[in-house]
Amino acid sequence: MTLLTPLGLLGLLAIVVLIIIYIIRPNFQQKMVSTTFVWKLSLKYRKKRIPVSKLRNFLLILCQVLILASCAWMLAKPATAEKSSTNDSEVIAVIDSSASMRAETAGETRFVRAVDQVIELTKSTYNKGGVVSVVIADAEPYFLMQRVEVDKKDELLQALEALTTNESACSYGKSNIDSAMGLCETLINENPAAQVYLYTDKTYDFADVKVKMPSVCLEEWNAAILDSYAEMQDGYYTFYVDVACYGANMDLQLTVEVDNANPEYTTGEGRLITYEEIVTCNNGKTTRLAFINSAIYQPNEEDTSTIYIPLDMDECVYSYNEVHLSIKDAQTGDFLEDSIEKDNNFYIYGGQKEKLRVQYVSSLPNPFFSNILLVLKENYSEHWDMEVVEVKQGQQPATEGFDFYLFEHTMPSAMPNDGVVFLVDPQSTPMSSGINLLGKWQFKDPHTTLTEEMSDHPLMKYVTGEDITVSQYTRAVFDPAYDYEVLMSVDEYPVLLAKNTPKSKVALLMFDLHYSNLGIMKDFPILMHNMFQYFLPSMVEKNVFDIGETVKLQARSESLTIFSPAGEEIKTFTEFPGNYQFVEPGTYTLEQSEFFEKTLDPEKIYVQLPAEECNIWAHDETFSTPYTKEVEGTNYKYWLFYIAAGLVALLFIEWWLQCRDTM
Amino acid sequence: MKGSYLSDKFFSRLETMSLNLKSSLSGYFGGKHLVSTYGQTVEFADFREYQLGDDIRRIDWNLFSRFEKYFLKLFTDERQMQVQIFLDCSASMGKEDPQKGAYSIATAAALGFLAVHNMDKVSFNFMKGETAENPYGTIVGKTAFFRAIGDMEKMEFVDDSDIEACVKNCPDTGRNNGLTVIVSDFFTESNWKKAVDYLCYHKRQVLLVQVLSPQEIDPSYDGRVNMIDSESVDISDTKNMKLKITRSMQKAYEEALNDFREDMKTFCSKRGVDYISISSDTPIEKVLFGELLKVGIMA
Repeated sequence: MTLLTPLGLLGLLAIVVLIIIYIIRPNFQQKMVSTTFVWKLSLKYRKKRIPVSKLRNFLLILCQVLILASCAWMLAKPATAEKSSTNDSEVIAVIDSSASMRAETAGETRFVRAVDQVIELTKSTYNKGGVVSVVIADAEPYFLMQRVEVDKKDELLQALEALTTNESACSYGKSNIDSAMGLCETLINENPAAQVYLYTDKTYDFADVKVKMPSVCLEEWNAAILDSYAEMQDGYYTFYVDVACYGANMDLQLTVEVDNANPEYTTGEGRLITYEEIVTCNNGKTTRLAFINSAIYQPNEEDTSTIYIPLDMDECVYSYNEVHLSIKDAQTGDFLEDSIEKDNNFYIYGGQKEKLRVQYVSSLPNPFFSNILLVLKENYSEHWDMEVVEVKQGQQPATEGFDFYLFEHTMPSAMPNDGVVFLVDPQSTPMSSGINLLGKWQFKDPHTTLTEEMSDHPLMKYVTGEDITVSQYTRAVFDPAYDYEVLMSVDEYPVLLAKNTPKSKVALLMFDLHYSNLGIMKDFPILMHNMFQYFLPSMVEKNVFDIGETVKLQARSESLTIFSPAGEEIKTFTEFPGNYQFVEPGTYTLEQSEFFEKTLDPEKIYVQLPAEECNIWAHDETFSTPYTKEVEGTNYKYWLFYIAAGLVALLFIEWWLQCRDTM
Repeated sequence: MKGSYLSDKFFSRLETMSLNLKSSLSGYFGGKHLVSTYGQTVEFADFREYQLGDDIRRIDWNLFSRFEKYFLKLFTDERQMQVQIFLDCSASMGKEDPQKGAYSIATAAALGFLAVHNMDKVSFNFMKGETAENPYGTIVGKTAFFRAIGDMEKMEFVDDSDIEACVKNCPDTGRNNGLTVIVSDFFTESNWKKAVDYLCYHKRQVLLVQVLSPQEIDPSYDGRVNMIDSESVDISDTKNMKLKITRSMQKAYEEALNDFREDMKTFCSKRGVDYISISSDTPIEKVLFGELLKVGIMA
């Protein structure tokens, strides 16, 4: 046992002080009393006891001495030294496998170069009889092999060789060096003498000098389209493009090709519009270009961060199928031969709005529904080209050809089977609806509130049933075979129901808006919005994603399939929302199965390299050091816990003896 | 002296009260206490048949006309009593706790006032050592009484006292002629019971008033204590004692005190002696109008 702070033993002097206190302490305190007559009488009444008081006093003093000794012992920090097994020849190689490590010179990438260096390191380490561990640092670092000794040398070398030939060994995403160092730390805790080698192309301002960082970079350079997006402004798209060149200064020719732009209404055929611009890229600085309608362009001298290219009206785009952006060498007009080619092209999708047909049928047309449909049409104008058809009195409502049917009071004879059906205050029962109406029910209290049955249902998001009152509703019973979900009820009778299966999407509101405050509450537009989002969701929220970014997928039909840029089926989802992470850049196609026997248009998304990975000469501040243990080769097992436990026990015994003393 | 009780207000509240003494006492002529013998007052008591030697002037001639027999008309008798108050003046009564001393004096003074208010004679005997000092003599009338109690407040409680010796050495304890009150804590080695027996032998009505301080009833101190008795001569006196006061010791004290009071009560009840035990923190009005009324000594 070793005392880490021997001076703490000076605390033992407290025992001497305790003894002195016992010596000088007056044994009896003097007290003047009027008479001791009764005390003398009371001696006869005192219960006879075993004379243990002396033993108790001795134990009390002993306890107090031990308590002080324990405290002094704790101050001295006793510990048992445990020699850890150290091996100076152990090495841990961390290989950065981020996208920037794909930068190549003469057909050899930085990643391959790093792996080759690790192979050399491995061989030299085994010659010294050492141990080798290899960590691959991608977004979620892992051990390629851990603490491999010389007897498994070939196995490790084969695994490293495989990295050089495997195209997917180096990722297109980011790397988490801090997490990789965390893995190293677990090994260093066992052997603090292990040497860490970090093979990365990044440079750090402050890095632990104990971590060796061999260079894997040559004279690479990379020009890249970092990001691009289209933004609708006054009915026409403005295209924003970020371009940069790292490791070289050069002029780039940016080409923007808008495919199927502004299609004819009758034929659906558009034209190809091309923009070209020369961009000078210096010192790795990002240049932003904006192709903007000259009619809305307002020159701003203060805004120097963006280069605006005004477009004539015949070049402006209000609809497109695909936008392809590419960069070339401005001097030669040839495609670039830089270190990373994947970022020389970029695609923007989602330039054509989906058509959505909505039919509103009512025997007593309701301004609430008319207005909310107009509001939603305006609100969804960027995503959907919504057509609202209001069926006039005397006209026959359609039961096919629409995506959303809203029937109020007047019910169809049979349920439409090619879209979402919303039945409000049904006065009759459509065939195959599973509804059996019992009749109207009126409350004496016109402020009877609704009860939420499924508050976590997507349709009920931000809808508060307790705020909605109803004075009259239609009672009905529902066939359990139809699987209606009751979302709100009153008097234990359902008033809002929903059903969302691939073959039937139905919502039911069992009261007239005239007999409720719902129409004037905020809950009404929210409920209608929820209905469109729930029954007719978009497959993806946007059309451009980064590598490693989690993409949330939704579908209206039973399944959704992802196709790779090469057209191969990658994965099919049947449960939604589904999450997916793309690992390779390129254009992916999302296809849904048939929706009410209709084929839905496929959706294209573009997956890009992370912008920071395009910078192949990136600079960072620091990374967490794996060397957290300062003491070389020695671990200490501390005794503080045991002494503290003993101290608590002694304090308890002392307290108990004190209590007995006063009994 | 701490907390004097003797004020005009205190005595004025006692004026409605009187001592209720036994009718068997003989007393002296001229008082206000009704006794069982017949006397010369104007209050009719009974008739008795004429006997030889009776004064013929007391024959009731109206009865003779009805019964043709001689009857005498008898009247009640009222006597003056002698009230003797023995006050323990030992150190235990007030040296350490002046409140207890003041309380004892107030109790004695109150009883004395009731006596003179009822035209009885009263004498205060201060028990010191083996003698009972009577500095004021026999007091008759309120003027003499108030003069006497003016000095009583300056009383000092010192040394110890022997109740038995004091009572027996008293030159005039009287016989069948009044009430004797002993005010003390009775925490004494002397045999006070013999003193009570002595008074009973002399057919005195006896009242024992035991005055205790709250500290004596429920001592709050604990731990190792060297208790110095207020009556001790010096530190080596055997009255002093060293004691480790624990919870069990305090319980034993409580039992001892209760048994002591119970023994006094039993002893007194066997002899027809009145006994009250009071705490000096009890309001004195509560003692006078509560405890003394309860035992019947006041009316």
